[in-house]
Amino acid sequence: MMFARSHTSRRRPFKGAAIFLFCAIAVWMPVHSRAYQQYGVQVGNRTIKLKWNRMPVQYYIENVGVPGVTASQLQATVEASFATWHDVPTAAVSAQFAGYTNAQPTQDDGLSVIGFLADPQEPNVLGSTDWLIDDITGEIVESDIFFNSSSIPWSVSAGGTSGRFDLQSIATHEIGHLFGIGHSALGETEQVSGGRRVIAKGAVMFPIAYSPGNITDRALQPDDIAGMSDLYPAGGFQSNTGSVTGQVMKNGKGVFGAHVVAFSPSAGTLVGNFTQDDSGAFTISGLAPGPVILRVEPVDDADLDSFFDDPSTVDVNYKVVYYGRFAIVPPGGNAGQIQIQVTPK
Amino acid sequence: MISAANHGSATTRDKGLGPLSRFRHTLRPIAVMLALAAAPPALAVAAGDEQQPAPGPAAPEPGRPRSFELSIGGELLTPQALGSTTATLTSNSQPATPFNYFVVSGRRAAAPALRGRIGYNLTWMFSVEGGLVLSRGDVRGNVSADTESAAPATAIERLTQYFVNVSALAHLRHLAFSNGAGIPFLEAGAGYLRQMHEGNTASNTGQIYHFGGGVTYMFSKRPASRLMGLGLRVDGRVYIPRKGYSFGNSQQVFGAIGGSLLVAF
Repeated sequence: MMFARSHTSRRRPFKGAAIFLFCAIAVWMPVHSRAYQQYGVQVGNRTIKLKWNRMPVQYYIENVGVPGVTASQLQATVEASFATWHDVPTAAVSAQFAGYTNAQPTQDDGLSVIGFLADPQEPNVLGSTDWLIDDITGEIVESDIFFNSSSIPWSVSAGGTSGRFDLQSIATHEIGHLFGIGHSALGETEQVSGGRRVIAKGAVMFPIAYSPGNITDRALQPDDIAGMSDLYPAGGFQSNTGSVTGQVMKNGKGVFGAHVVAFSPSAGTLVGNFTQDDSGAFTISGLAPGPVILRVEPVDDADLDSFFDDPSTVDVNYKVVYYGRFAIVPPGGNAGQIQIQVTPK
Repeated sequence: MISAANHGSATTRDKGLGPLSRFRHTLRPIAVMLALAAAPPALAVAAGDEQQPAPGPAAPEPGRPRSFELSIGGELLTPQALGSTTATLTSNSQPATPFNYFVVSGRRAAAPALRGRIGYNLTWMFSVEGGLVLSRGDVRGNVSADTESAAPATAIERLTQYFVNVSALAHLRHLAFSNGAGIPFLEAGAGYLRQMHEGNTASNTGQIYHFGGGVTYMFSKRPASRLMGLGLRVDGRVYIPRKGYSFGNSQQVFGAIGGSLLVAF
């Protein structure tokens, strides 16, 4: 899935993709998605955060509708979803509608195109986002989104439509990817025939969608806001929120891929992240100052490849555990190094 | 209330116009305070003033108007419930409803406190105080009802908190005992609350109100000295915090009992 292109003599972009499913998940990511909040791009010996360096992001709408959704309705829906992210006061993201186009959302043409695409090979895929990246700077230079029109019934109704997926909810998720944030694991699912069903979730960026007719994902959750704000900080985000860093250990060794959630009892917010290497190190940013409860769990509510490049290296054999002390998050600072021990199941 | 003022005027009339004038100035605000309080204290003013020897300028005595009291001591703060809150996800239903992820309930353990106060006697009956209370105690967050049936757990931190407060005190001289050495009092006040979490890197601020009462017992009186007396003070307070540290914005009342060494000057 890596596409070498030569847009300019300096740039050797490659392309990644993030997709959004309602039953199963598969991800093609040449970029390293070792944190749900952010992707990392390997440039030489360095890992650079995948992000846009220029705002507003110019985007085009493919001038094609599908049953139930015209191109102009798609444009209005996408604009509402961009506005949802733009309205986050602690994140400096913005986008501008550049016009309709006949280009498809799969072409590496320098245009960020959003449209429908029939993908019968992936009937469970609702939408997909990919990026064209300058692999010298790590900067995103193009990002396309497509919504699967193969067998997916879509709705743009203000209140949602029973039996149809809410386009604005899915667009809000995909636009999160367009800006560069990855998946969250804040959710609970159950196995049903053919895949997983969401029981509940705490982030728009959870990789599995709510059921048809549900419009909950039009609104961001604290976890989404923390992720986007950490990537594009603004509005006092860095001075008014804090972070927790630490390690998750099992039998004296670091645990890779553990899901760590911080809950602020006074603010009532949940924000999560993953341990990101074999040392078991994690960082959770965008936390309300004050004490937080830390909970560690194995990633077992979505397919591992929704989150990690190499799922075979992810450890899921341990019990859910809470850290025995409050982690005290200072405004504009870090709670200090925390070590959490987990035990095998 | 008016009768108390009139009575006071009468008792000091033979001291000359100067003291009479000053006494009236002090009694007017007292009359207002009494109007806001219950009737028995108003009677106490009359009775108290009646029992007191005419307080002359040459006979300083603990508790006399325009004198000070300094006290230093300790308190024991009772345990304080900090409320309960639930970490929630959003369920897959329309309309969306909260889905319980886990529940946290908080409690601060009983904690010792240091306190210092300086008081100023406006009259024989009323005084005002400024004070500082500094305490340190453990806060426990008990986690339960985990959605994946994780074992219940407890998170702990050490909380340092201080209150800077002002109080109004009514000294119930008509209930004095031990030849006037022991005098009960009632108090109420408000203050600033600051709570520092472990490591002093994060804090909460708010207001804290209190009311209570106790006894002042002067075991040494030196009327001819600048240092008018030494004594003990034992009291109890009810604290009502507002906007301090809590889980789920619950405001939980707690109490305190304490004792102080008292110097009157």
